[in-house]
Amino acid sequence: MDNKFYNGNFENFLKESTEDFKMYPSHKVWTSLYNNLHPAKKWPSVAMLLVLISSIMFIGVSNRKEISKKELLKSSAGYPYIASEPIEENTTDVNLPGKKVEVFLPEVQPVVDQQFISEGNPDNKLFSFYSKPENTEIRRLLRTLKFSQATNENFNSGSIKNVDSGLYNQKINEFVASLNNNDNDKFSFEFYATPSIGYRIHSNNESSETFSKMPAGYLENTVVSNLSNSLNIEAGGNILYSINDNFRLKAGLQLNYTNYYINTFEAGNSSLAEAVMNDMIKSQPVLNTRNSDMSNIPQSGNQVTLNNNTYQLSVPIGADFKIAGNSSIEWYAGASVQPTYVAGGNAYLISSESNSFVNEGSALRRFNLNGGIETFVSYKLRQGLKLNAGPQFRYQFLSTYSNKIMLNEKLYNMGLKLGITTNF
Amino acid sequence: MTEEQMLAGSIKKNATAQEALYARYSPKMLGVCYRFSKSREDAEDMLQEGFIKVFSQLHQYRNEGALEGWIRRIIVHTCINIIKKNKKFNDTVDISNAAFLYQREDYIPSILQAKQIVECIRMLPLGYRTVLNLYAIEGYVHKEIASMLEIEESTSRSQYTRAKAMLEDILIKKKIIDKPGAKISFALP
Repeated sequence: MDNKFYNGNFENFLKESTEDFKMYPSHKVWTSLYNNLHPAKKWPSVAMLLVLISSIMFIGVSNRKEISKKELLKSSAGYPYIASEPIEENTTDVNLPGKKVEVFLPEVQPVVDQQFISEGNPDNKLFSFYSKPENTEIRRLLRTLKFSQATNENFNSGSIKNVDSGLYNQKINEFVASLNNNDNDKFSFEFYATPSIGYRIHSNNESSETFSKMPAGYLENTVVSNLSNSLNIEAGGNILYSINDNFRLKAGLQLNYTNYYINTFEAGNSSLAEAVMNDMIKSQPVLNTRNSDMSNIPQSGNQVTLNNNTYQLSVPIGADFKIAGNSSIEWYAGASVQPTYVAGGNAYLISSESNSFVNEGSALRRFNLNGGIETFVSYKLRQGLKLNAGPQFRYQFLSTYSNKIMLNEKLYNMGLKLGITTNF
Repeated sequence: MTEEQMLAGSIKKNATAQEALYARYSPKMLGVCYRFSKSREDAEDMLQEGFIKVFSQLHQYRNEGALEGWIRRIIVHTCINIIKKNKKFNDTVDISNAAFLYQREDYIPSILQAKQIVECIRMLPLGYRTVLNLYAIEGYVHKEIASMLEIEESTSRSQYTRAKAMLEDILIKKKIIDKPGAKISFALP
């Protein structure tokens, strides 16, 4: 650089020299400023995300068809009746001749069905379930229960008369479980964690208008090669909704941690690193400078390992398809798109002249989009609980960095997804 | 978005217009704050507080002169107010501080001249730096500077003279400028 003479007018020299000096503020300045200017609209994106999550949970909960024991008792208690004819016919067998027994469990007989309907309760869940032709076995079981209860003469007082309450509770619990298993197998919940190895694709942001205006020699060697992979992790939960036996939809919430290492050298003296950035308004390249003591060029000093990482919150939405399976083991293939909010992280960028690195957290793109594909085996552990395991591939569609950065970075992970699925 | 649209939208508290206005002027204004501050973080704090004032007072802008100049004056006053909360400006540089400057200057690398000059300015002691920024770059006269910093006008003049000499010397040593016969006007140990 040529030295500059000034002809005694020191003030003009300083003014002209510094007139166009610019620095780019970090993103947090605008965020704080926005929150100050619009206190009622703080973090609109977070609010929208919370609404979305709440909606998913509300839909999931409101669609649960669980019939609780309490609900069943209430349902039945509204229709106690004196089973005169059938019981009297059987009292001979149970040595209770001529005694009327108050039966708590309604026995479904045609006359009883009509009674239920005529009393304006066609939606009674017990009645609906009880009436289904496929539940003949349960009807038979309950009839057996009723008659066997009638043999016990040590009955309690109260609303349940002439009934062995212990046996009754056991059977009613089994009945509730059978109802729930039958009605709610469309919804299930999945918890999972996916340890993975993270990789990345680097390229210059050549599509931007600014790139064509770059000074010669800049951005020629900014694709960093001295990188090492590291362990990434994803963890989250999905609500699954089965359309049919082979196809189910899923939506949930997922936390992601991505990272990799850059191997650099400790510079003896702090230097200024130039980062070429895209002026979003004027579409002009702008040089932004930072102090840096991390060199890309081998130095006599210590090696320094930098960690580029992000903390993300995703809302995966997708589907699973069952390829094959039997009653104990199933094989699935799945895919999802994952709108992602990047909550924070480190972004060590190589300078435009490829000499050094600077940490520029504001360079991180706040909203990104990921996609995932996976295949896994689902093994039934016990009633309502399955263990899932299989490989997963996740790809980041947009650059890690915002458009003002002239470097594109696309992350992708390959990992092993481990999870459990449980019924509601 | 044109400047008129940004201005009208920002006055109506439209977030998009406010962000556009901020995006257009914040880089240069952060450069201004950086000259007054001791760190980038402090400069960003100054910028944030300055822009809060800009947006709250924007309805008072009368299209008399460039909007950038109007914003710049608010930012400069914000910087001065923040500095005044912590420091007194009647202090002059002491010898140990001056010696320290000569140790630090080796760490200034050769890079773009504007950045070099700004970094050299930031090496000056707070009082010198503030007066030099206001007088030589922002164009305030000593009477105004004295009022802004609550010091005597003569103090402003003397601080500027010393600041100018110190900065010239640093710039020459860094070979950013050539000025035959330049003299160091303060004592070294």
